Amino acid sequence: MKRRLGLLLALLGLGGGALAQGKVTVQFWYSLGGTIGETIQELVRRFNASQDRVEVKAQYAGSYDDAINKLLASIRTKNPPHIAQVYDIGTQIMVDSQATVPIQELAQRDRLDLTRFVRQPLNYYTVGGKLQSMPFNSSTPLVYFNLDALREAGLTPKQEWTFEELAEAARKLTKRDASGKVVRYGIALADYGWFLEQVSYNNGFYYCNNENGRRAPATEVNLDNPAVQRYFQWFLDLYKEGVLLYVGRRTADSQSAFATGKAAITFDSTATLGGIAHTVGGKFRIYTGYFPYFQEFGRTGVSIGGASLWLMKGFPSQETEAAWSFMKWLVQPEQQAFWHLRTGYFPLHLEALELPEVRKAHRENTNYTTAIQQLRTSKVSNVTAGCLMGGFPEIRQISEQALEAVLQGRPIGDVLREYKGRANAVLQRYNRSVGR
Amino acid sequence: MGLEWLEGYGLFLPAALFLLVFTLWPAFQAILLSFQSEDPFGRGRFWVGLDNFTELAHDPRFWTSVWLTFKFAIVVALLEVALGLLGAVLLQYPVPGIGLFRTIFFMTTAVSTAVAAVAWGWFLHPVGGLLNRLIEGLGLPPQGWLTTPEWALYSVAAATAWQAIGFSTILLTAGLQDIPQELYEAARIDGASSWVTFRHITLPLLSPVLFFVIVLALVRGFTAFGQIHLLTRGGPSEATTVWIYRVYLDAFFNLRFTYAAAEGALLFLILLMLTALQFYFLGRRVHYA
Amino acid sequence: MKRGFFFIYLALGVYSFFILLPLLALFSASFKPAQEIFDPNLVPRSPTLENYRIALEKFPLGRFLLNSLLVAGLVALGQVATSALAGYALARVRLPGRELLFGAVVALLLVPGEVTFLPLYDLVTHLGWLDTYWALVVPFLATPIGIFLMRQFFKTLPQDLFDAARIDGAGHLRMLWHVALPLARPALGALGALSFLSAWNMYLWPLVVTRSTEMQTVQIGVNMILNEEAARWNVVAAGAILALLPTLVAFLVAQRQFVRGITLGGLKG
Repeated sequence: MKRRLGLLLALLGLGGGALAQGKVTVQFWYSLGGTIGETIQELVRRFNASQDRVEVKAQYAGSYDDAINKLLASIRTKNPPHIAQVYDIGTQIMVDSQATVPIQELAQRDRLDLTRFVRQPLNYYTVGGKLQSMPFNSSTPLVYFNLDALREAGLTPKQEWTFEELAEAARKLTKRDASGKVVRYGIALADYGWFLEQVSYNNGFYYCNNENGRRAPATEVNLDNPAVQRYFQWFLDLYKEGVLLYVGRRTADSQSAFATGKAAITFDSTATLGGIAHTVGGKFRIYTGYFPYFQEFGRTGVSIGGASLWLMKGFPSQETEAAWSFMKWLVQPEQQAFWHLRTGYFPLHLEALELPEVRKAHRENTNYTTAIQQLRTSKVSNVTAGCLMGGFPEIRQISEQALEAVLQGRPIGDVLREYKGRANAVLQRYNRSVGR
Repeated sequence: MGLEWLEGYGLFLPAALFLLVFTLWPAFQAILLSFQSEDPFGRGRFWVGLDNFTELAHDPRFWTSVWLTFKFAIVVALLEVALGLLGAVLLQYPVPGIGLFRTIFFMTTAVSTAVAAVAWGWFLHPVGGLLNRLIEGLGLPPQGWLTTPEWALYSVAAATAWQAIGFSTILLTAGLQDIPQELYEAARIDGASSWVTFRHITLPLLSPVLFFVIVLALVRGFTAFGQIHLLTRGGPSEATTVWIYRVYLDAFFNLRFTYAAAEGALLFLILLMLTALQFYFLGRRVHYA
Repeated sequence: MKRGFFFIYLALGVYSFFILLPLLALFSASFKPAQEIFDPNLVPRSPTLENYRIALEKFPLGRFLLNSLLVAGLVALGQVATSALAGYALARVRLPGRELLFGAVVALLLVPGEVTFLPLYDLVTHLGWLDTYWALVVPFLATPIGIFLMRQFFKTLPQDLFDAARIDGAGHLRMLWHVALPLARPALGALGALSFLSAWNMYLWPLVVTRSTEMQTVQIGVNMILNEEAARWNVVAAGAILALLPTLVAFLVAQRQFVRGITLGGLKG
């Protein structure tokens, strides 16, 4: 009925743009807010203007967590969007949903040269030997320093830090007033599960068994690996000393503590580089370093975080092709360069790095290159491919609860044993539920 | 006369129809679901009998949620009723300018859940929050109101109650005004102290309204979702994962919809019993003027 | 007497201060530039309207508010209508199984929305209502609490009024229209206010059934601002203040009616 009405309207010349011009409409759900969300909208505008066959409609679907909930609900009710942005830890769930089109075949068919892409993101989203989704916004964790404070305290900025060195620096950077009250914390940190995963990788540990679930489906979470144990102790010590400002779960809060000068160091994603610089607004200079490691274990390298774009099943091939054409367009060097410079996410396409505007920006602001250098110097292995497992969103929350329990004063060993048990139960239940 | 019942049903019909289709039917579906299992994507549903319930009985996290829910609802109701009553009593004094105070006291009624959550999120913010500054001003150490398990439940409860204080103050103010002045005058002549007056005249005569306010506050406490979603997302350490939030998490975050349905069904039963008890006990003690 | 005044004012003042405090902090933050946001001063040193500009430019707050107004208005109207009819039937019509029906209504009062949520989502999807006003309005056109309140209210009306009308040969529909409803105007107003408030405050449901920004209600809009701008509390604060303004103004203008409505509904309940 609705369609007939639309047809009628179209015949009368009253129909809305898409139908009258025979454009294919593609629904695209994204979940990045702030200036990054604006950049996505801008890219979509550019794509729509660049051709007249496909009209992409970008919808903000809420935060990553809300968005995957929404997406899974829409899979149940069989009306998903054509393209959905899903965070890294949703990968196994998306594969198991069998509601997506793995993009490997399409990429091969269209001779998309994947060798010209950064390796780690491809590794991350390759499951069962197939590239499942299109890496889109990929990030790595960085250490952010207030360079002025660093200089003032007589510390030399450098890219590689051990946790031990970082603790020392944080102690030196902590400022107290006459009454002993902390005026500036050495470091501000949020309780973010992603950091625990990255701490594991960077120190050479798998976060889940069967080589991060890459050799065979993971059945156990290595939440109690030595690196996490050490990290909890490190965190707890600095917290007790009043050197570390603990802000709860939101990195946005540690970010603002850093940007407003309440703390001199923080951990955050590459992706917030632009946002932090904007809030700082020239009050002090920012310096970025690689994610730290423990002396004892040495540096292995980080995995990527962020999200990828999934092509959803069940549409007429014309619509799927239209959606795919948008995905292909997005990862071209030009778009990737724009994306990279606007947001801080690193460009997926290596050729983007050769473009003059990117080179120029990198020369002017070396912080842009930290993430890229960090990835280049990270070992390519199943450790840095990142853990692949189902139930990851819930497991990440459990890992965050573990740190909260430690900060409550419970012994680290007990906490890790208990929460590892919980995480394992979730994973094993998930595996059973999908018949593994 | 013969047609009276037909007419009556006719009047009841529109409401019945909507409730049937949009509340009862989905609720019925949800109960059916609680005896089923499925893969995380809603495919291949199959009957599992009481399996979900057996698992629930042995799930300590579920029982923690149940306990937290009662705690949360009671804290919300206590705060809301106590502060509402205090506000209402204060507003009884006919001093000049009382209208302005009345407006202020009632004002939170106009604040929506999301705005209230944002206001409290900022008020209790670990870095910029006003409450911590006030506390530091008093020489006390700042607290992680939303970031430590000891405080989080109370903080969210305070935000929830705060939003409803205006509402309960309105109701209780009206309730107080309905109490005949002669009774107070008689008490004054008898030389009763203000506490005795409050205890023996105000409270009993106010009890129907109080009862209504308490029930509404408890329902609010049992069903609060938006504040938790915006302020703590059930954390820290699941300290604010009340049952409705657990149902939400299990259904939409942990991909266990049928298990969540069982949690919902069970708690629905518990709530039902609780309300029946409430009606029974309070109904007998409430004084109807 | 004067001293009594002083203590009353003191108590009123302290109470008001604590009630207003969270809003005050929010209001203050909304005028602060980024550099000042974490400073302890409540009065911004260099106040700015920049946050409001950003909030208004980035988020279609007008549209959000309009959606909320429309949805809450329609829901309130619908609930008042269905509740009045059903409440009357349960209170004043001798129906076989009336107590059973009333019991069912009370039981439905307790069905949490989060439990019926997914089946309801299923249903709405099958009806093709996702991302439309239908999904936001129709499922909520009847409410057990409204029926409950109206029934309680109609029960308190003196039987004589109805007997008089009955002698004149009036049927229930006419009695409802000519006798019960005019008397129930305050209760209807109260229910309307209650319904409006709860529809205005709906959170989880619009979060999931709306997709496009144009369909989102102001609650989801605030959630969106918080998600998007979590690092810029001053912008979040400005957005929240803007979202608050219309209801606040409406409340200040219509305070008397509003209060009377809530009061009468609550008291007779």
